[in-house]
Amino acid sequence: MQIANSLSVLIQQQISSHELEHNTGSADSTYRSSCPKGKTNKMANRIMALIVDDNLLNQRIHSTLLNKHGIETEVMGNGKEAVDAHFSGKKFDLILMDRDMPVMNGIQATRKLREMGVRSIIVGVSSHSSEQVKEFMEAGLNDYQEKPLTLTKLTSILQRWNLSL
Amino acid sequence: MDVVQLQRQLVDYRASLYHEAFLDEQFTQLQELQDENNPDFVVEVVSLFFEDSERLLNELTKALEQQSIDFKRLDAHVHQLKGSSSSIGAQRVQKVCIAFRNDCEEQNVEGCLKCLQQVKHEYSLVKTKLETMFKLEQQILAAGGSVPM
Repeated sequence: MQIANSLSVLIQQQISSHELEHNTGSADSTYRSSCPKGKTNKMANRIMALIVDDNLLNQRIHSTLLNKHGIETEVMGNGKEAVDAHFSGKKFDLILMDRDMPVMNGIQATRKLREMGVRSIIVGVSSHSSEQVKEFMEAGLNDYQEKPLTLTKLTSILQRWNLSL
Repeated sequence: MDVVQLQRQLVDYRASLYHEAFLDEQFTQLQELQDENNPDFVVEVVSLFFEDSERLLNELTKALEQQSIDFKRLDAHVHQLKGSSSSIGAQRVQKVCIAFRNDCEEQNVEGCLKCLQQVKHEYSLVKTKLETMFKLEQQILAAGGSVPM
């Protein structure tokens, strides 16, 4: 616990002297936002998260929530983009998967990713009732949280799955 | 008006927005995410909300003008609007969306039309309130003060 605290103090200090990076996405509407990096970029155990959600507002909010925890994020707008990214070799520690999305929804995408052997922590995020959550969980989720995500909910997820710095 | 008065005005105004359920706890969450790295986070997110909502309200209007209404499509749009309003803490808008979805499910055209009117009304109210709030914040900053949390 103490190590985590001093690491986050270190991160905060770096944050005050460096800028945020933003790479605007290409044709497939992805973007990456990172927490501020040090010049040498040698922070141990960088956590990478993927946010899969078709709602721009949620993309922005969830990215910022994660960045606040020192987690780097990438964003995709539907399940198919997420699956394709994994096909091309991308790896993430954490995936926040929205349920309802066009082209390929969260249930289908989760199923597909598990079939592909993806072992990342996949947390389903949605606004559905508990009966509907079952189907989502059975697709291969590790965890589920109701929208909207808050700092508290995120902290509990990160702690549960050992994803805190 | 001096800075202290403006600050007090802002605090009172914000309190009233929560009291009247225009905003809820989720909005506070957004304010807590704003910091030196993301100094305009709240304004950015609220602007996204305005854009998203206006687009959705247009879609909803069009969908309800059709000869044969596609309730599934209608519901999908309302679901989106419900999601956005919930993410930002626009509680009254969110509440109307919940009722709206029920009418979609029941394929109740009258009900849907009423809900559309209601949601447009609530949206324009919260938009005005938020814009007023941001204006107050700007005035405080322009007067050399800092915006109270």
